[in-house]
Amino acid sequence: MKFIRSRRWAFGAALLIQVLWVPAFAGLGGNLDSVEADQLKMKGTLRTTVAAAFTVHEIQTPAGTLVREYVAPTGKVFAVVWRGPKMPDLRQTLGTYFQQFTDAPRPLHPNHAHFAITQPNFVLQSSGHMRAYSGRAYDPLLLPQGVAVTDIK
Amino acid sequence: MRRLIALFPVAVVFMLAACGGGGSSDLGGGSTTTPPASGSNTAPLTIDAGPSQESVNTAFVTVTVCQPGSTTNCQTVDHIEVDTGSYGLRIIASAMSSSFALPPETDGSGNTIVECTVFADGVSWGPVATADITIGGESASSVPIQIIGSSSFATPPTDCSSRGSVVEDTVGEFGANGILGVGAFVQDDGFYYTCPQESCAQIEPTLAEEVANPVAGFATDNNGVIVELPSVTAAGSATLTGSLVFGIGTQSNNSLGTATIYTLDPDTGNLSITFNNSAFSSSFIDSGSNANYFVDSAIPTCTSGFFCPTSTLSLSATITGINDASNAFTFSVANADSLFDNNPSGVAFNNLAAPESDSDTFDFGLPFFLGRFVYTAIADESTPGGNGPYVAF
Repeated sequence: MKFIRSRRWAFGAALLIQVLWVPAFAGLGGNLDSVEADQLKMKGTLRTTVAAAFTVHEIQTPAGTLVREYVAPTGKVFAVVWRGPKMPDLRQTLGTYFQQFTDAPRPLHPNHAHFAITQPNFVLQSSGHMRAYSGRAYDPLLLPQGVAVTDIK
Repeated sequence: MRRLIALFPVAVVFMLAACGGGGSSDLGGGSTTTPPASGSNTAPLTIDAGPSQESVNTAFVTVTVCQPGSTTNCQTVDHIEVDTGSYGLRIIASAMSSSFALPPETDGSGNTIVECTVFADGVSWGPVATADITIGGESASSVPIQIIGSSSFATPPTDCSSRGSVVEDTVGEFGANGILGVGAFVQDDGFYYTCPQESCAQIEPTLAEEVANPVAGFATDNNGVIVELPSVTAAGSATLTGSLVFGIGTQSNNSLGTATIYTLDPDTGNLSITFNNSAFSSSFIDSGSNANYFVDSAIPTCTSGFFCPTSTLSLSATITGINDASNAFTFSVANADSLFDNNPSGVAFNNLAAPESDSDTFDFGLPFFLGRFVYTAIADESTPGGNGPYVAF
């Protein structure tokens, strides 16, 4: 990740330092340089924000939903976040973790406005209602050093 | 004032009756019963374990759907979840007679329009049909509704199933015989498809084609609803009945009284709630949420997914509308495992809470509705308190 400079740590791990326009998007667990075609499927505009410990690739879909993808210095996507009026395509957004998403056990008292999965390598939190959906998913094992779960938002 | 009501719960009943529902009551209050509202613009609400026997804090209503123009070719379906967080009526196909068929909504080429409804916990797939709807004493004609799990459209396309963890197309999966979305909007803004030659593709429906909040289609009392539920004790209740009242300020039984109006974001239906000195700007008041959901890493979570503090907590959160109307509300958080263990048949708990997934959301769910009249005004509809979208209590 050539944009990242460790001296920026002085300003905090998640401090945003620059914004670039780069055509790339990968699902959770995917590699940044392997899935540029995915961005075409989203038909959205993409903005890349570079922070000290990770880069954020942000796609605004035509439906108005924002999908943010957190990329580690290794080039691997360790978290995805979505917020907006329509649920994004989670098969694409969750990448190789989509199977774990669909295989996850149901809660004892299910609820249409909330859903959560907590597994050693996959945490997903989905929330909201019609016209306002939000959620995030990450792999705790892929979190770069110095990145807190609260940075994923 | 709130403390007084907590000390003298009987006063809650008197106040609610006296001022038409504008009073504020403490969520942790004692055992009171609010007489169900009466009138042609009301429908009974029931909280029970539901058809799946798994429901807690879920309010159900009975709905009758008829062939458009008919008063005899009808189906009456009980245990339809009342949800102020969604818009439109959806019924699981298996909850109706297999010989009962409503006319499908079609595009210009005669293809049936099918919807993929997305909830945070899954998707529901099924065709849009047109029905005359009766709820309590109110009726709406030729309203688009969704028939979930129709055998004619058994399997959702990948584009639909890719938006949820599971497909919830049966009564057991869905947790109800259907859902009645009576939130602050008319259309659901969902994903719509047609499926010529077995292959489904998304379409852009007209507003009139979208599944719609039936309340907006009533001849009168069509500007919103009031969910009226009695309070329960801290131990919870094994059954509870209340009322769904249609209209705001249109009849003697639905005046705003002294209720405070909190306007909602016209795009999202959200407002702001401040808790623990943090403002959560994507917050909402939702009868379809079975607990109060909020972020508080200091409270332990148990295996049921709810909060399980070592002792019951008394907390406060401040609701602020887009109009800057703002008030603090107290609520309790009990140990969910203890609640369920001590009251195995309990279905209504005012102190059930759970961790919120979204870092920007505080969700006052059904516990907030217990012992309170919650008004929801539909966007752009006129009420004595101004136009919707708003909530009031």
